[in-house]
Amino acid sequence: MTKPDQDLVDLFAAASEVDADQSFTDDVAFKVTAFQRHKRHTKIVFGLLALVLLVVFRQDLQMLAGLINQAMTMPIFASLDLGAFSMLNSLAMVLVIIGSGFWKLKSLLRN
Amino acid sequence: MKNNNSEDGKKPYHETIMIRLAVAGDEKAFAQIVQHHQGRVRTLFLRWCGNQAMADDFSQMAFLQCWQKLSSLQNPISFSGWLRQIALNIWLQHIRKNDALWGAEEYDQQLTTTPDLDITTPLDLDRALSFLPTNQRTVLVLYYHEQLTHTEIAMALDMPLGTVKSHLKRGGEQLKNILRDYKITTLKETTS
Repeated sequence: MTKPDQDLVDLFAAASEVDADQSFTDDVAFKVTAFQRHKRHTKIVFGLLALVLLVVFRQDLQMLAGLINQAMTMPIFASLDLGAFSMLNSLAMVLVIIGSGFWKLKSLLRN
Repeated sequence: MKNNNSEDGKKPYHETIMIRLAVAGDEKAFAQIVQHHQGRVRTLFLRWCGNQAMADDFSQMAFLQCWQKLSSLQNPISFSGWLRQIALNIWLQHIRKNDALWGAEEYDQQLTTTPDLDITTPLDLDRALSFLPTNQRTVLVLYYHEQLTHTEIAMALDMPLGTVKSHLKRGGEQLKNILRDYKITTLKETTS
């Protein structure tokens, strides 16, 4: 292994370092706060957008649930005797989507 | 990095606790981390770019990225190395964008003559380093300032080990030449 050049080691060791400066820390802290605010606002906007989309496309979601129901009554699934379960399944899926949207929005507002 | 109490009667600094608090979203704890590490990060960028204002801008970017990625830090003990890697990535991103000759093997041979030295300005290490090609400067600073090994530098820069060694050798020689020539020129100027 090559040894470091002692002259350069001494040179770097003797070179002055930048001193810690409170104004630098304040600048970084300001940027961090601004970043956090921006992040929170973006999340709220996206959360609201998701809710609006949920309301606007509720009929499509219902249709999707219907399609899932239909799929579950296909012979391959029917043979598994999942008829009653499939209805619950699609309903639960819609509830989970709505619930997670609300939960996300609530947690965002709390933060 | 040091996990100690700061000197001169300042507030005690417990790095692991501060990092855990910052990961949980405590901005004040993060400000303490910045206060503790800024000297090292700003010096590192100053050695690389040779300009205090630019070095401060890069350092702010590094700390902001550090805040954004803090939750991905696996072990608070490795914070110092992790922060260095963030700083290095920012520097590499900058030079890849601005230095088309980065990574070119023959580039480090360009500086065959010493630059015109202005003896009216005292030559400090950062100014001397700024005369070197970027790849040599980057490697030299990582080796002598950050005290990384050849292998660590090769891994950090994604560079063959041999290239790292040759950059170190040539860069070191050129840096010493620049400093020696400056001393000779200054001596001549003062005696005449």
